[in-house]
Amino acid sequence: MICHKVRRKLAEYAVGGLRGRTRARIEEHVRDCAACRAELAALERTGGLLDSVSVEEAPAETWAAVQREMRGTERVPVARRVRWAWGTAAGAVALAALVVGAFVLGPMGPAEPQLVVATEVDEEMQATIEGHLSAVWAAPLSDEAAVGLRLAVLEDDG
Amino acid sequence: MRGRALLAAAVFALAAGAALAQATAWDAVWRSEAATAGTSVVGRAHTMVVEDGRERSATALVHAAGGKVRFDYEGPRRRWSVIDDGRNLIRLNPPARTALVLPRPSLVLDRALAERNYVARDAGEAPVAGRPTRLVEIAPRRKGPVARRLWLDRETSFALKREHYNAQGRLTSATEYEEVDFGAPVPADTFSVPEGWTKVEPGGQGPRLTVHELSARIGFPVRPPRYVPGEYVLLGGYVQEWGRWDIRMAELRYTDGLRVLSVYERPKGEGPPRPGMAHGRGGRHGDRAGRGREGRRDRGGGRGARSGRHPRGRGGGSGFGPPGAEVMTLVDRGTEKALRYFGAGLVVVVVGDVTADELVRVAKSVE
Amino acid sequence: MGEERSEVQELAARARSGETEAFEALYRSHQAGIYTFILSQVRERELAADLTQETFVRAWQSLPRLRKAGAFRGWLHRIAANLVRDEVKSGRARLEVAASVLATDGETPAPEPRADAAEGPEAMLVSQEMKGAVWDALAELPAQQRAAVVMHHVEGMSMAEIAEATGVRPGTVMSRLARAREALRKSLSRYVEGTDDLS
Repeated sequence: MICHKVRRKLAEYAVGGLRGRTRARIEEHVRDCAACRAELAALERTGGLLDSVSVEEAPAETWAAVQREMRGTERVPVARRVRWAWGTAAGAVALAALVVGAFVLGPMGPAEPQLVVATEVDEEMQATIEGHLSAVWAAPLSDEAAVGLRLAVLEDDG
Repeated sequence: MRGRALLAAAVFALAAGAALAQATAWDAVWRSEAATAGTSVVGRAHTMVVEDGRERSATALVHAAGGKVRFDYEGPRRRWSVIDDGRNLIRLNPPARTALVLPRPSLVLDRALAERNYVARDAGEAPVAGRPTRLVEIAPRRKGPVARRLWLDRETSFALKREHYNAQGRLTSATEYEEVDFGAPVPADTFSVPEGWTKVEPGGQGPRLTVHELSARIGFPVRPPRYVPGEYVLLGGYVQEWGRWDIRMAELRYTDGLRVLSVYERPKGEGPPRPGMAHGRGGRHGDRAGRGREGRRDRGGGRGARSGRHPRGRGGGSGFGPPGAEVMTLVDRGTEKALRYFGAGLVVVVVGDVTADELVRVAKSVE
Repeated sequence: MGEERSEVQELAARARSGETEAFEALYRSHQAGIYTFILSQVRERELAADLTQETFVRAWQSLPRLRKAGAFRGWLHRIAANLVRDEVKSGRARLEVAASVLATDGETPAPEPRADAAEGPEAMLVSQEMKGAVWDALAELPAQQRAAVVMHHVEGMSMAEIAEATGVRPGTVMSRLARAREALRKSLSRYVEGTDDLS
């Protein structure tokens, strides 16, 4: 096998992706070709470098947070509701603090979503638009001939 | 006294006459709807749509009988056909000899709803395909531009020409018959998939369900939006599956009698689940999703909207906002718009012919 | 490895029927892998922690829908990957990040070197600087390749598990790993080129 052909397949060989005759032929070539052998060594060292990277632990408090959510929700996801301890002094203090906070800080919550106009239609958007078109087809007074054309246009654009 | 009584009588007569004329215009419209379903027609029509800023057109050979219809299209680049056999929408691809079969929603005709939200008025007459027709315009009862213009054949009430306008009043589609033959025989096999072709049935929509049934079927609590534009009512819920893309979502469908507003939902983080799999996890085949959305080639003319049309939005590009800001994606095809919004636990996509602001309001009102 | 898998299967089956202790055991054995996997994609510790938490909550809620208890790790990764993808789509995270955009003053994650170095000809002393270089090089890869590399080399997942996690064929996983290996070999050439002859 020629060098440049071998080079193209070396990475695949290094990750264990080749089989049978191709694999054997690479091995045969590498045995005799120092340049390709060096390249293979570099590829394998890269793999070794990657193997030496270890995982990192998630922050310690994560499990507690997961547990809280596990207890608070049913198996099927439902909206999480915050329960206030109305009856207790602590609850009253918490509520007062919340009210004060609302006045001082303004409405809380996530940042206002920004509207971004898409220049590309991803699969999810294409699917929903297409699904909508079927509903439009069946709507009263629909222009079915035009909807049939629109389905083809959407397909071509997608 | 008499003068006033006469005046009152005149006003009453005028109003009654107008009301009668109004009833007649709507009657004609509903007759045409029935005619579309019932008449046997063989014809040739020219159809045009303005979608995504561009005009596309095709000529269609039309066969209709017994509530079924078939369009054989010839466009500048290709031919294809669409068959409505009453139960399925079938799209034929002649070069590949494949047929894409998707369930077709059943028609829900709510005349009272349409007449509550829209007015129909006579607007003249003109010949179409060599036949006399009556022009009826349909416009929203609340102030707004004309939504539909229909040229109805005087004899059969069949709509020989139609113009559809979007909520902004722009023409989005027009179809006109050049030749038409009522009562011509239509062979029975016109509305079936040709022998030997490959049928692809990737799923599509399920039967109409209540919100509760839909939640049970799809496996997560479906949340109706707290706000929809005033004229719209809930038609029903549907499980939607798109086998081609491994996407499964819940749809809540609303209508104002004429237009349709679809609200799609799926749980965030589940991604598009594969239809039919018990653990609901789906993925895309091969490397298609590899580079994400950024890697798609930009075809000439672009897709979606041109940036700058919505002052609040930023130019397109990768669609990312500044760190920390949530982003909604808007696709404006002209004929209608689609908006994707990431809620607390749900991804919501709203599709319809309403303003972008209304889409946003609907999406954000899903709890 | 085979013995380890059947233990996961056992735990997953018990967790599926509602046993929270079994789920906690699954959490303990999978949290680091998931956290690292997410971290390699979103490059922000706080966000990665949030998404890790979200992954396990969703896993607990969706466990009854898991058909094969043995596919747990791949399935868990799929949940994580989908959560990351939704974060990207909504603009809260960027999936393709050039290394030059990232701060290099300690904010980028550089996991500790493993105490037990691998054996064989690939074993080598690894410095902190090298670690940083690896993570920077990973950041330059396309998302799919980076995910495959992290799952295979860092987490030790098999081709089959990675295929399950990403919804592609094992062959596709293999070619992603190969392309990544080529790219990384170039970007890490300082550390992997040498005169050693392995024959």
